[in-house]
Amino acid sequence: MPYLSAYPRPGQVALLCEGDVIGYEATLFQKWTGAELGNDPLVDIWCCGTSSSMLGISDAIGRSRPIFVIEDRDFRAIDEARDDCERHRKDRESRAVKIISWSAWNRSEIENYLLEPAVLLPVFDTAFGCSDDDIIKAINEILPALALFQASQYAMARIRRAWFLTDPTSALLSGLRFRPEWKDKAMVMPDHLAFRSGLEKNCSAWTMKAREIKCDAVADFDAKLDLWKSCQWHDEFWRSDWAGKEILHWLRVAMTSKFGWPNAESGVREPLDWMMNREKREAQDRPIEAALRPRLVDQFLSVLPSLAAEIREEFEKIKTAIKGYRL
Amino acid sequence: MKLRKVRIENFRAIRNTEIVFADALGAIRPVTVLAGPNGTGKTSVLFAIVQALRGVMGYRTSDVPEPDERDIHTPLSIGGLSPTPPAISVTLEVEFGEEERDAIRKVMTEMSPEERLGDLPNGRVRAVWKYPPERYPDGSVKPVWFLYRTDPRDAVPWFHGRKSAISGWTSRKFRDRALLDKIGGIYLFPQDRSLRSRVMGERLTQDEDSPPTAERKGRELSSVWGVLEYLSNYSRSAPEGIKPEENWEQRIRESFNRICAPKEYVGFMYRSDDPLGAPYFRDNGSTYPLDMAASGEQVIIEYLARLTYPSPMNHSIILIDEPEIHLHPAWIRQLYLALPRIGVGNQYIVTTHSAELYAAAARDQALIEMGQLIEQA
Repeated sequence: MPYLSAYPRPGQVALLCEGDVIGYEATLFQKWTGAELGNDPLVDIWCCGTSSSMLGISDAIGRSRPIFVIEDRDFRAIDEARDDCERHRKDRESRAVKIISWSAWNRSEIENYLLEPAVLLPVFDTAFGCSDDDIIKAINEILPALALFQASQYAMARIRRAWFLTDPTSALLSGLRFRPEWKDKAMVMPDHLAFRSGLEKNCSAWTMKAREIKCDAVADFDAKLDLWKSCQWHDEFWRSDWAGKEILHWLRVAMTSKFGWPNAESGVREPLDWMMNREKREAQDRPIEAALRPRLVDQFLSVLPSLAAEIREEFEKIKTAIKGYRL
Repeated sequence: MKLRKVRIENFRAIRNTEIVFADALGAIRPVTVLAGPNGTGKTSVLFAIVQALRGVMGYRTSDVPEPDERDIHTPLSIGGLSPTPPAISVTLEVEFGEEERDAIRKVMTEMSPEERLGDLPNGRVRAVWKYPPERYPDGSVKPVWFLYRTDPRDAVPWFHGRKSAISGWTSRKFRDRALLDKIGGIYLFPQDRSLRSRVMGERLTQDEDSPPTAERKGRELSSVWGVLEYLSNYSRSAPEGIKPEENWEQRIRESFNRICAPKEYVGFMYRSDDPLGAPYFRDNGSTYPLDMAASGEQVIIEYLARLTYPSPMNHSIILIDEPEIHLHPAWIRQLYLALPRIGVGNQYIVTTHSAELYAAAARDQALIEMGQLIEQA
């Protein structure tokens, strides 16, 4: 029986990413797929906010169009992220979602790619009328101060990962029959006693598993803080393993504090005061981030062909997968 | 030439608005998209810019009617006497880049040495257009109905740059065509841009028995047909001598093929069954002439042709009213991405109702919302 597509966009492929509808990934993928793939195939970008929302949105659209999913790696090791993605892929495919690829960035998140010197320096030089040295100096002050935040997020990620095994959502109903069946032209409820017995067994196993979990978050935290606390510009790990969003945020704070930002009314550049709570700080930062975002994305795309092979290959892989998928 | 800011008072749908075309850091955006519900004044903004710059720019268009009393925004009055219609005022802040200023200086020195061309602080000019025009004491309209109050006072010759450059080049007063390519102008693509409707209109008035002539075909398909033929002949005239950046037919072909893929613009071809020749397109193995092309193909080829000839539009202000008309969303997306690459240093100001353009411009921080469907108190 033909299935009429109810997909509400013009594209032939849906690309799911995290972030805001006008965020870095949306802006970057819109331009990059337009330039690299054109209309063959036409790719729609779906920004899901968080990785957990990707599961829901993939269900919502993935039966009408093949989807390409790319998650943030965050503080997971590359292998861990790969395993998680594979699990998500299998799970969604079992629900008839058509998946081209379910993968994660090699770096923590998209913002980390914008921390490449060839991207960051020219954009901030122009925006703040300063030199490369001014930006490097600011980064060198920011990184050690951010080490505690980054190490804490790493430790939190380890805890979440360990306790993920205790997620009861799938564990408790695994292998049990509870949906009605169609037999002899009528609906039949499965044996409720068999279900009860299975549930009891699963609950017991789940409780045991929770008790067996070993997670030394403090040791994880100590190890990372020790490694990261003296981080500087010339180190490489912060560009790929830290939360890049936070680095960019604090760099904007530092630069606008020192070099100022044009006043919306007068256009005159004035140093900004950031002595405020997090909520107000983020609100003050939002228009600054919005103004710099397209410049960072455009700069990234213009220098992409000359960036490190690992970055070029990562993007090439996405292109090949989408182009090679049999629609 | 770029438009930094426009302030519009009492013009058509607009009572009072100011639009800034620069981003938070003061850089003028290559593309600005004006969006909003019907009646919020998107087209009025484009018309106001044209009204304020026509005449001195040497830009003639029948797409924007000459101003009259109906263009004055008249607030509704509930009962009582109608208020006195206010006057239209459009204030523009325009700026010229350094390369463009150099080219204008050279052109004006050759074409109008008597014109005083002072320096522009920051390359900026402010121009104010008012309507109704000033009148003599006897009530008759002053011959020049454009009132320019410029700062500095001698700014008007700067606007004459492109007009003088075209005139100098066509009269062969100077040979340096590159000068012309460095000076911007203004161009409007109105909503009514369907070549098909124009062709059909022409055909209704044609004598069925008369044989087609090149002149007739050219008239049928407006100047786009002639532009494409000219560019094709230009490319063929010295295939080895034309620099790639001057092979405009090739550039049109590349842009068209990118925006409209998988459809292709083949070029201007003469065939045994069409000795007069025509611009030909290809799709899925079949080849067809411009008058058989889809409306969307005709629209895209018209954009590309008009922005290429009589000289490449560089450093220009290009206004496009609802480009989504006739276009598939995929082509609209591609057109948005292609615009900044058409010409050098152009500024595109585009109005839209297209969700695709909304999204693309919002992501680029290039979206200006002219209003909401339901305004909050």
